[in-house]
Amino acid sequence: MQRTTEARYNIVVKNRPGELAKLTKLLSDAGMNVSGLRIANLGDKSSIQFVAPKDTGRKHGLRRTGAKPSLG
Amino acid sequence: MHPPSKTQYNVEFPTDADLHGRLTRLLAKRKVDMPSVVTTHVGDRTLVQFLAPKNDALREDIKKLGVAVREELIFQFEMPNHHWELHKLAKTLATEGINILSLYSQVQGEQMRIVLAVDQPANAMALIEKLGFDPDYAIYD
Repeated sequence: MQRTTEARYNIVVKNRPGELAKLTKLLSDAGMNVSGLRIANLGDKSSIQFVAPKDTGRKHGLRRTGAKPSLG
Repeated sequence: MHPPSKTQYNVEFPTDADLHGRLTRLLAKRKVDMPSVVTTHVGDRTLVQFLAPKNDALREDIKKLGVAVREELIFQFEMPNHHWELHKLAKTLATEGINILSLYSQVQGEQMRIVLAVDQPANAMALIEKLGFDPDYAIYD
């Protein structure tokens, strides 16, 4: 059986300019390409979902941003 | 530059399976041609976003379900799938105070196709062109 090497991460941030840039800076500093990205706004909140290598969160401090791996 | 080929419908409601089902059945009954549909839950709210040709009658029928509907002007472009390109895009929009209303991406080999809605489409299109990409209002399925 093939191991899953990517995870989908979810972050809920404030709906305002600059929140995506904070995340992309972190990913870029870590040299991480994403293989999927989705943003949806709901009122004053914004949901950012992205697909990245499974160990991104642990290795590169993504958890500090509130990003959580998700099966959903 | 092509005229807008599709609009993005954003349908927001309190998370409720029955309401979600009624929306889905309405879209199926109307045979709405949707190249993309995305559902997002944040807290107790649900947002269903789909791309479809503009149709005022459909919008009115969706409103009758008792949900909030808004439309967004969307455009698409392709850029290399490199983390620095994505950050350059996000930083450029942020620096100009442009808010992203919605975004989805599709990776096709070395390229990433971005479908984007923002609060200042004309400014964003000009900035994205300056970055060397070729944004267009026509959305390809």
